[in-house]
Amino acid sequence: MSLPNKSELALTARWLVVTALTTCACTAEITGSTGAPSGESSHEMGATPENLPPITAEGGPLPTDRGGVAEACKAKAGVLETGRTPLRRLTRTELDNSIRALLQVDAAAASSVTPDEKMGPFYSNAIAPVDELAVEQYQELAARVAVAAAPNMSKLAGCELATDAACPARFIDALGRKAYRRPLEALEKTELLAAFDAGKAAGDATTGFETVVEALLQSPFFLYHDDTFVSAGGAQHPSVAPLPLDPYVLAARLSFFLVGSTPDEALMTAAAQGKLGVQEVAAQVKRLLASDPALETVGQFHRQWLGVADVQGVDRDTTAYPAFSPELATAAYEETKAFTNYVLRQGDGKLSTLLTSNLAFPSGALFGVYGATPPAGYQPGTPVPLDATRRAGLLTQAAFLMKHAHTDQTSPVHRGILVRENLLCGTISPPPANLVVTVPKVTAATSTRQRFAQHEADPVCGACHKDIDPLGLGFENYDAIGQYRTKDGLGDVDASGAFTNVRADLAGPFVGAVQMAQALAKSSEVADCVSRQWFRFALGRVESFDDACTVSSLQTGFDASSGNVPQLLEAIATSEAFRYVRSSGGNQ
Amino acid sequence: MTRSRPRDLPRRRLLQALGLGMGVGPILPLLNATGAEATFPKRLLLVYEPDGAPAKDFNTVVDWKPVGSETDFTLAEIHKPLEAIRSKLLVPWGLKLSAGGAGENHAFGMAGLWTASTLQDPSGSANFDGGNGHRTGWGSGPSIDQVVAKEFGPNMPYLRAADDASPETLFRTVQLGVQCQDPTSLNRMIYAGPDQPLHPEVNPKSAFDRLFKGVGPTTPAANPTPATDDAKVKESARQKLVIDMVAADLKRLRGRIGSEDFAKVDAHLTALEALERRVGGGTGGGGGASGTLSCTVPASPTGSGYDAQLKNMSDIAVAALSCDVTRVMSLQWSYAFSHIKHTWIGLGDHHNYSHDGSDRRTELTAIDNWYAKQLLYLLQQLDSVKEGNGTLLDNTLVVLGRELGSTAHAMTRSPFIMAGGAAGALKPGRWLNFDGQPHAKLLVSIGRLMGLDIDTFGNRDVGSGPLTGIG
Repeated sequence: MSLPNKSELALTARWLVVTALTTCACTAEITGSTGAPSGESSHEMGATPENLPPITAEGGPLPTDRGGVAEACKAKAGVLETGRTPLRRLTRTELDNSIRALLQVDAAAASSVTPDEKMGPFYSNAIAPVDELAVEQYQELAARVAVAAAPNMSKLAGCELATDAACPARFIDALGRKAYRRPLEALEKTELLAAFDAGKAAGDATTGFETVVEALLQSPFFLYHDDTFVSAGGAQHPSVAPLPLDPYVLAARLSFFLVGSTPDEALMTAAAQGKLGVQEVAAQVKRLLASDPALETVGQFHRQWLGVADVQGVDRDTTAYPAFSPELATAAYEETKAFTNYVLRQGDGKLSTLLTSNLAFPSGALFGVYGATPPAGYQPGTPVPLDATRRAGLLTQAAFLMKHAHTDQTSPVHRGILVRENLLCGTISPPPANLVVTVPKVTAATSTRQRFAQHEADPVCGACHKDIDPLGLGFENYDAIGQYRTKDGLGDVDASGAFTNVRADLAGPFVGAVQMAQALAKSSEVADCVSRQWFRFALGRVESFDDACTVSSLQTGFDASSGNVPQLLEAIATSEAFRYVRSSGGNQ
Repeated sequence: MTRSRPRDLPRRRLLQALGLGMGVGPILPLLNATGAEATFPKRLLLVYEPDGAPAKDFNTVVDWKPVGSETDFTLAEIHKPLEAIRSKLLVPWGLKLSAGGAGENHAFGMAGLWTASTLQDPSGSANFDGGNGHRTGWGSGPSIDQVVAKEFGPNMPYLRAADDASPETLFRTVQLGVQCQDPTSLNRMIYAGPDQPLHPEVNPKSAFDRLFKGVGPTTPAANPTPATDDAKVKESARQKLVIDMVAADLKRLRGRIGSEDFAKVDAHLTALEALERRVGGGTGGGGGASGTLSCTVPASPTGSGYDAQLKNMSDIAVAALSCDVTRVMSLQWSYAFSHIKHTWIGLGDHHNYSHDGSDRRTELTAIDNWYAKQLLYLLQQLDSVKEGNGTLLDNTLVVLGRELGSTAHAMTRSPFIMAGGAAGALKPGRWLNFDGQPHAKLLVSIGRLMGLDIDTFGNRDVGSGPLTGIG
């Protein structure tokens, strides 16, 4: 195994998701009944003992149904409220992109800084504080970047730091503005100039340059999303009431949301000129979404949403799946980005298209998995239509099917959980504490459905699996690398499934993933969930009760646009929750 | 990134200026200048091994109970390799993990392992994957090592407070890990407090570079070189200036954020203070060490793969303790749900063996056996470092813990192993039967062995007191 061991990484995250739920696939032994060791009593699950410190409520959860959200908004009686925004550190991707924008240096933060926390499916460093290790890593990163940028310092500064007496101040103004994503305050300029001078005194102008870079890159105004900055004259934080974001902070929020990086000059200028009203923000969203860096953002949202961000690390039993190779997993990974960008930036932009289109973007061995051959004169990156009776959108593409599977068989449980949690925003109650967790053994004589039948037969398993397996079993026409199949075990594949415990417009049986995808594409529940997922991705936090009005308007707007995702992103960027910030919950 | 000039990180510059290199230190006086018996620091090392004792199913678990009397016994198969160092072990058999809360057993077992505290439910932004597709928050209390490192007193690892003006060890605590995965409740075990997980360094090279910069023959013990060299003074001042600027920025930021976020900024400030001490030429020790330490810095780590990295990290831990870089450490081998493939012993995925539908007690026992060999290596290395009349191991308390009792998710009879002498506080060479007793008692005992005056630890089994016959 090599150092970051991708195959381990990838398998794990989602693998474990299923483990306890596959629990039931199982001998379903509820324990404690016989002999030693006696089991821990099942009430342990989710127990909250009296001596647990109170958890900040953060406004409390938002109802899941649309009516409940609308009611919650109504209860605000027109008073503007938003959920509290926690102080968040930049993710590793945001660090890398920002450092590149500032200094044209590849910082490789991804391999040198502690990994990012996740908030739901998305990366967001919102909870755990930095520790000594992170501070060390930030210092090392800053020093490394400073040394790497130094040979280029005259070009970066636009003047000669060594000889031109006016140069350091100009350089500090310009780089500081980029690093802090706002103009420097007078005190900061003075301090940074002193840092330059001190560095120069300790060595030479290069040392001065490096000292300034080290200070900027370790500053909290660079390392954190500085939502509470207010230009002179504005209402000051902390504030329980939401305050409008400072234009520079709004520019930064827009930029990190849509291109994962420090705002560009156009955004900074707009902020400086106070040109970030609702209409102008909408125009900026269009501009940024059309720009090259947004390719990555669109790809990353969908990869994280579908839990396939680490599909490149999956491992397969090559006896069962001789067509599998790491290159195949990479092709699947790339396809998610190509397909979602095609739909959102060149196509009709609709969620229903993402979920039902028969267009694919295969390369290499992925053609074989799809049973397709490259058309004559095929250019990679152009759409290839697949058999529409067999393929419908993201859920029938290889990344999803490959990631949510075992090494030697499919996993209806993984696939079902992903649909339930990430597409329907549902929660699944934990399995009882003392189940024996067992993935059923593959045998030639049994189908996956037969192997997982225990779930339905056993009332203990059934309690949770009744809302998971009927979704996952709908994917049984696709094996663990995404190939279409009609046989499993000794018989034909039975891909019948059902939507249970869902809104009326979705409830009922279906056969196969194409039908399932078509039903999901029309479902108000999926649409509502997707608008919440984009909200979380955009704001780096989970929506709360106090975001009711924003969420309600996003949901109705998304509906009115027939599920147009670019318009949803505009609606998010112009929403109250996005343009205002509440820095204190006021409950302490 | 390309490096255009042969320059390096600030601290290295500093240390080059100091003229410090690496090497083997002298094993010198057993008596200090006054003729009294030399004293050595007391250390704590927590080690994590994934998953529980091998099980066929919930009620059929491989028994690991030692056989024999308290002091004359043989170890069970999963611990067999440790026979070679049995006289320095204390086996506390039968403890039930004081853990619970959100997520499932692997997750709350991990969050409770060294905290005896509940894994919190998800809430607001504290809402992430905590195993099995369920959401959890972070753990709800500090781990025992962090409490030990923070307190100070005559029988503690640190006699000198962290805010004492005197020089300090380079690091109060160091967390190392091997392939520990992303930060979720499943993959973290050390906490500074509620919602404050501490992440392990998992890159052996980074850990090595950070811990041993400037540690060498002249620096391990109690007397830092005074800052006389001009270049060193300048470089140190330059770095302090940067750190002071960052701290001032943090304080300004603190003035305009909600109180909910104060803990984040305060933790950042605390970490910066520690960084500043190191820049200022720390390595003065935490007090109480009159004997000369035998400091051997290993070669820079090489090799990849889990087994190689694990050995690297063990070597680094031993050297860091022997050189007094820190006195409180943790080593996290893998993570709950460990999907490490043990190919070097002809075996596959650890966690899959527990749940693949077959009776895998043989394979799981072989994996435990392999981990026992890794622990043996670590203990033997600690024991090979002479300190006065004893060894580094005699002055250290090593505790190996696991997040489950069995691979079938029992939380009972979790296979803990204690080793070392805790500088005379622990009498090893024994096994004790604690069947059914809460492991919060073990954490209380760890605290007491390390010099804390406590009768309770964590929020799961409050007021448990210590284990009888240990500490």
